[in-house]
Amino acid sequence: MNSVIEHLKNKHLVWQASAQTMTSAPPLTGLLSENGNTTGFPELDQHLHEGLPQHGLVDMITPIGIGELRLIFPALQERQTQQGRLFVLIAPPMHIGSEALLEFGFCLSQILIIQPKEPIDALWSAEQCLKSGCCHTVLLWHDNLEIHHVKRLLLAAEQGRSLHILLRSPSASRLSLPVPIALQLHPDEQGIQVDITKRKGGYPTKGIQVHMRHRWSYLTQKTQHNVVPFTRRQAG
Amino acid sequence: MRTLWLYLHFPALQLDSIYSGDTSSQPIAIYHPAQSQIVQINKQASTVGIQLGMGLATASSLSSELMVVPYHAETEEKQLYYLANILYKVTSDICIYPPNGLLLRIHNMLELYGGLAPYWQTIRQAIQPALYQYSYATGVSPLSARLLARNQWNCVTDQTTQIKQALNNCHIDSTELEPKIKQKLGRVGIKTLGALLSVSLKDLAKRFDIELVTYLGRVNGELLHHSEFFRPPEHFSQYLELLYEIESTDKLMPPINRILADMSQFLKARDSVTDNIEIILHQRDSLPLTIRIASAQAEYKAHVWTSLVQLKLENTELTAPISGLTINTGKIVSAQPDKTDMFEGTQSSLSPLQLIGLLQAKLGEQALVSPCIADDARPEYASQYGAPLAEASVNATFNRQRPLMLLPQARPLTEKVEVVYGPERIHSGWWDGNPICRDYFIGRNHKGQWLWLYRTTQQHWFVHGLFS
Repeated sequence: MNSVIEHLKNKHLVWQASAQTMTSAPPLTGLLSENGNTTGFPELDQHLHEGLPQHGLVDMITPIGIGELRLIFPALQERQTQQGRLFVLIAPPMHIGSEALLEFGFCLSQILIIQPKEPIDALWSAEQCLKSGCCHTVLLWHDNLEIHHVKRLLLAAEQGRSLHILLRSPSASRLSLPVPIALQLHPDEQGIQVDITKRKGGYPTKGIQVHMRHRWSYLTQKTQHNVVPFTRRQAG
Repeated sequence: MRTLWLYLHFPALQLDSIYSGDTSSQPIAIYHPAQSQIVQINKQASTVGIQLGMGLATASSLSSELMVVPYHAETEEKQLYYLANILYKVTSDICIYPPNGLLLRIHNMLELYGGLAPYWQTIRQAIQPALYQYSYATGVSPLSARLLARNQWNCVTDQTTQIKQALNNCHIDSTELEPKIKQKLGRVGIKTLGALLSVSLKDLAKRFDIELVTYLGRVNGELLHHSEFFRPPEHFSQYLELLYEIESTDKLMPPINRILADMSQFLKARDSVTDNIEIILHQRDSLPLTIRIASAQAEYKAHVWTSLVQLKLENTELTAPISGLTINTGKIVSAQPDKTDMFEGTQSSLSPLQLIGLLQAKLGEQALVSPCIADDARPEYASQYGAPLAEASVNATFNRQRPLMLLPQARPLTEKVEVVYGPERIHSGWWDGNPICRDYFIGRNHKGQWLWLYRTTQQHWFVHGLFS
């Protein structure tokens, strides 16, 4: 590197965009890495500034059931053990399996599931949970988000120093939202494919293949020659 | 030690207790149906010429917008207890004289306050915010204080001679003697209490019955007057009558806030908290509506309850106009200090239980759950939802390939899938009439979703969950 730039950098006279997340988010505890929670998948972490942000908003556009929660749950479990705050799931599309949560190592008495009747109540509860400061992460399944909703949620997340993860289905997500990090997930035989469509202080990256075989071997497909064609048996 | 008593007489207790909001320019009169006369009036009513003791017809002909409220002795008594509660914070011995008097035993409090003047100052300040009209007097006996206060002597002194002089000037009609005795006394030319007291008791006993003699003995303080002292209640309960009937929930908040502030004072004085309150809305022409508000974390602060009440009222529909409201507290427990780590980095504005209370007030109690686990091999029984943040009874670690998303009801498999894992047989539940015998597989459909499938013994295939 140019020695002049080096010199200026040492004197903190040059500001680099890549340092942005680091300065805006002082670490909560010394135990955590400086700017994020590692997801446990090194191939994703290296594109994500060492993982998910400490607090803020992550937009995930994903179909249900392709491994989208497996991608983030290890990091969230780590957050829970370190921070001891609540983990809130708002308006999940199906019944959340307790056995699977235990398998991830979550403490069930620190998980709160909110099932509001109206979508507008879901947004309200998300804002309250984020603001309260007693939730480390709030997951929200919501398909009709508008820009002003997202701005409010982002402010609330900053105020309560919690991480808000939005899960939206691909069909409903035409609108680009003002979020610091946006991910688009695609199914993959070996795990999951991640496109980072938006990232504050970085370039978007496409087609990151996350391998999950080492953790969930039963949820990966073997290579082609081993596949046994499955035929549906007729009833009776 | 010489005894000293202070009597507070509230001539317009019911009138003063009516909640009329901040701006009330309407004349109000309290009408006593049994005596068929006006017994209490406010300033606006007296400026239009209404006087105490008028009949209803005369009063209403003087003002077209006069608001007439029937007299309720019960309401006044409730207010007396309310005042006694306030005064109990500064003085110990309080007697309730229904319907509109309070008697305080003060000679034993003077040491604490350092004299009569500072004590009286404290008492005045305590009842000041309640904005009641009152007259007062001290006396050497309960009855003398009462008599003087009802005569509006409005003097606080411990000089016996002054008290005696004031007593001597009291007219016989203002005493609590039987009308028959008063009449008799009038006939013999005794008009004032002083004249009566100057007659020796021996002579009085000859001509009048024992009642008069006991009465005089009590006024003089020679005979002991039995009095039962007020003990503060263990639960908070307050009724507020509204001047106007309220039909929309947002207008209910100001009067509710007024009661909540009193409740907060009540709880704070006892260093206790409550985890639920009950608001009873007294509706016109229909049964009272009861709203229960629970807070997961016990609280005493008025503003915390206000926000919960507000959220609850948003979802409440009023069917009839509200004429009054009562707030009762539920179980009261002593306050436990919050033990949070000062050095913990995050400072949260709410505790988890406060957050739950807030969410439940708006969304209803059933909207909030926490996952819990039952010791059962059948997946639909094992994964359950329980009360929010309940401590788990079973906290084993599992390693059983279970999906994160379970369908509420298994649906038949209708698409082509590739099985990647399985089978796992679950054969259980034969003991409680819901037996299952299923072979579970993990499959992947063409959309790339990981499905949790099962095959029954009849070879029917179902989807039971998704590996998210």
